[in-house]
Amino acid sequence: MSATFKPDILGFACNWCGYAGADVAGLSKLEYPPAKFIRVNCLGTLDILTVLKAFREGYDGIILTGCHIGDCHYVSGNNHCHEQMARLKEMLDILGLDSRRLRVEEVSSAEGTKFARVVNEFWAEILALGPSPLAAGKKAKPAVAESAPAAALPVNENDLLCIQCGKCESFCPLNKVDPAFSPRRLQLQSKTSPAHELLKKKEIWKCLTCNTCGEVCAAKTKWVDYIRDLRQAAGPDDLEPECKHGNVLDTLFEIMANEALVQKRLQPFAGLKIAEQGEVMLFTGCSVYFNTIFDFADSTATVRGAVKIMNHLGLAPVILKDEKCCGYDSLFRGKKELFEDLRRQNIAAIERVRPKVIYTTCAECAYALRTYYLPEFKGWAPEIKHFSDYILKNIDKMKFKELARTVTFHDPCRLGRYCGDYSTVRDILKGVKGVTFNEMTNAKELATCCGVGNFVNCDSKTKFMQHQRLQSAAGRADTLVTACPKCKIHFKCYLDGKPLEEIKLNEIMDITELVTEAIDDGK
Amino acid sequence: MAATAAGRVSAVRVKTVKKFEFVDGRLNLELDEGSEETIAAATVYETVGQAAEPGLLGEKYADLVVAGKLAPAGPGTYTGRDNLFVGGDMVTGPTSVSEVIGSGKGAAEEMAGFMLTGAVTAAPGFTADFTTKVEPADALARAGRILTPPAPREKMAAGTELSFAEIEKGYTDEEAQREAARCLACGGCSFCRECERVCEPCAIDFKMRDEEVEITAGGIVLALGWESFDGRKLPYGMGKYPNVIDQMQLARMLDPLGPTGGLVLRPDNGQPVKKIVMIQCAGSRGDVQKQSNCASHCSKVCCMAAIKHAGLVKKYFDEAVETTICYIDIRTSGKGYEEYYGRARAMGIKFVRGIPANVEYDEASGQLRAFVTDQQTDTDLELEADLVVLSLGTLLSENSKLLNMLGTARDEYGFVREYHVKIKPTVTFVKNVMIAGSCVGPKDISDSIAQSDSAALNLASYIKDGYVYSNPVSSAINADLCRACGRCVDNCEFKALKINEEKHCAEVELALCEGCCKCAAVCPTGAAAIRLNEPVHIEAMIKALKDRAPEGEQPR
Repeated sequence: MSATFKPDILGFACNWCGYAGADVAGLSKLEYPPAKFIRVNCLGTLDILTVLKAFREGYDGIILTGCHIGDCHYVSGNNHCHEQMARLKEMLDILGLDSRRLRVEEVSSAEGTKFARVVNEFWAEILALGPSPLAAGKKAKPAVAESAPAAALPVNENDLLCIQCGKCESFCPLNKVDPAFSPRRLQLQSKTSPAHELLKKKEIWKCLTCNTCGEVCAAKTKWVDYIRDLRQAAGPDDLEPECKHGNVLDTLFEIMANEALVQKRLQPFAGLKIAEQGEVMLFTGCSVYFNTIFDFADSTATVRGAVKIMNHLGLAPVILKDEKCCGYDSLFRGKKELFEDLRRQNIAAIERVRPKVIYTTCAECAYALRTYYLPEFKGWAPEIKHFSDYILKNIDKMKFKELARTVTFHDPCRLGRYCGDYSTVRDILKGVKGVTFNEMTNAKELATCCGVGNFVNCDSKTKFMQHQRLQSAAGRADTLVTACPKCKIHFKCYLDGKPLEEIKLNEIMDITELVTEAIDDGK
Repeated sequence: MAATAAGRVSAVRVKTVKKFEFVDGRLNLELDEGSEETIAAATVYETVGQAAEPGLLGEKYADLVVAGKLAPAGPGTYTGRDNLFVGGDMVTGPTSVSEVIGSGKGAAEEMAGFMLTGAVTAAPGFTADFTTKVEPADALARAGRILTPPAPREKMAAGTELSFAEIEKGYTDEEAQREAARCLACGGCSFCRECERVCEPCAIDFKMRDEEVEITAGGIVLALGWESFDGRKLPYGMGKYPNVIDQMQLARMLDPLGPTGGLVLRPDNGQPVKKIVMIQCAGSRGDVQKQSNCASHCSKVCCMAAIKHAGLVKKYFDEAVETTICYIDIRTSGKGYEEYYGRARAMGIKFVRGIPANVEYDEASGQLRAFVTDQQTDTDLELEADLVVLSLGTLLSENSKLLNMLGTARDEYGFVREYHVKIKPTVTFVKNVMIAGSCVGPKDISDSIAQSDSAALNLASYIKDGYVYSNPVSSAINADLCRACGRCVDNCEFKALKINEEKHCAEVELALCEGCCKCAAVCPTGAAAIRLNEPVHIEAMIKALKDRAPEGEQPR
């Protein structure tokens, strides 16, 4: 470490214990290093998002001082904080930021000496760890374009095509629960409204980008692409409504985009066979971080399942250790620069391996890689497939045990309408032993969206959509299968804390998980 | 009847009735033919008898009418065709009101069963066939009335019986159910109100109806009290050997008005007690005792209670009684308590540091034996006793339904949790619910009184103005963003949030919100935010501090 390194440490202190402890330390004239403390009412205020944002800013270490367990002024705020931070630490480790950069300490209002001691200890620890990789990269390249001037309106290619027939409106699933939203009306307004008014419209952010309108459009308009461009023009500052899960992801993408960061993202694959070079690659994207953010849906099980299936067939897939998120969510959250940054780095990483085929367990990744990545490969191109293709191709070689499930399939928008693949998963389900397949209502082309797209439109209207969607599966099956981790997350988020009996479904799982469960590996 | 020439009644001729009975529902009289006599009368009123009118069913069912009555096909009320059920006087002939009600109920039950299952089964209890008489004597022999155990006060006073059942407690659930099963299903109350008339304490009031009374109050003081640890879980033979009792029972014995009139007697044979062993911390201080089934806290009052009772036995019953108190630590903190302990030692009460491992009962001698290691002398003792008294630990009297309703938190010991152990010991997290006494933790009488005074005063000061100051830092829900997922409601410790089903969003009760911001932390959509402490504020601080060097230093 350079001798001039001075840790930049941010602290959060609870009003009742941690901050009062700092006061006592000051009154007792105890010396401690210059950490910058923010007073909060209770450590329970701090969620993963806030602390992750602080890391994004480039702080070398973050220390939280609050009441002793059992002494919280608000009963259980500190317990909640400890749980959240334990999860965040897992994420920091996978990110390669090192969980030691985050510390939660119990300091009572009388423990001035303890306060000084823990800050001293933490300072020494950070001094030994060195500066945060995010601090170095940040100055060179700000992750977010700051206060970009209001962009001009994007060109709407649909203008020449749209005949205002209103078919989009009558098929739009969001319009059914929220009549204020109408693709047709917004198309009309895009021609009549001045730019500053159009870009302030909430409808821009309400759209689910499920592409039902594109599916049914008589004039073959590309509505979703126009929404994407509008969001970029409006800029992420107008991102509304504010989904916290989406913001955590956003922050995570910005952290990932930092080239100084060396991730340790292979940790979740411990115990499985993976390779560094090879012809078959598994693109895992941001899914290795999902379990920290979405504690209610085990999403790592999906990617782990994919590796297990490949291992079962004697294949060790390539998983890149320096891969980033595909950036699709950023693109649709109006952050084009961030997306391009992530894409550039991902393509560079993929080019080092040059696989023949890239599988993804996520329908969004599959679509994003095909549509936005493929044209960027120069002189060569891998084949990009959803993991369900791999399963179907090799289904005869797998050894299955007998399952006892009645399943139905929820078509993810990105796999169905975007990629046009409706049959693969259905064929797989017919090939797994002991699985009875029943179709749910609104299947295939007109499948209703899971209710949230790109984590921007989570509100009571879409909650109703999710409710209806799950109800339409109830009674027909005990297991709802999907092929996109996002669908699973949104459904499980809706169900968080609710008994599953409410929807008469036993489980919501990914097709990869179902096949992993069915595989008989002799154990 | 005799008549005058003018056609008016002049007299009635009567005969003595030898036998009066109902046969098959009809009156059957046997007259004494030779007993005829004449009574002069100017007016005669005829009491018209009752008769069924089966004709109203019409010709179709004429065959159902037998001897002027309707006859169901089987033992129930079903006639066997056309879904027709019959009952009451039409079937039985003149009978009592309760029997008619009964047959109506029976018919209703059978019809319900018929409609649900399609089959007719005679309703148990209600039978239209009253010809088979159940003799009252048989009925009583089948299942006698279960009496609530009476308190044997007189016997206790006479010293012939020893019991702690000083109060008639009423039925247990099981007894009540058994008693209810004795119901003869006579049909129901005919509201003759005879019981109301004969009840001397006027306990029966026919005008009374069930009602829910709503009491509007500004606040509630919870003083739920305590219940003792279940001594049967301990290896001291409580519930197995009659001579193992707890301190509360000993206290009753020592009461001059108690079950033994102040004498300390062996519960098994009523003989005066010579040797007593008291076992402290029974069900308390489980961590110290390495007993996982005991509560971990110290029950606080038992040391003083044991010393007091041991002293009272010597002072008021018999000075010769040998009392040994087995303890872990004697805790007599506070004014005068230490002196009390000293006096007890001076009286000759033995204190053994060590908790008995078990208590055995010697059938031959009828004596109890407690086995204990005296830690101060490191010797194994075998203490013989007429009476073993357990100082059972104190627990919150179980009332979780009420506590859940009020939303008061529980602490790790199961007691109601106070806002702050030291500075707000009588306030709960729900602002207008105060707590006092042993439901907050083990407490003696003087502490309970002090705390209840404090609770009452706190509540009075809370409600006296008719308004409360809400916290400036408090939760605010953005209804546009809220999707009523309920996470904030589940996580709020102060019950300040609830879901408005109509508006489909969460709402804050500002008077209850403490501004802890937990709702904002758990909200997935960002709808819940805290005034003056919003995420944007914190984020702005994070950003501002990043670029600011500590005092006197250059930014990096």
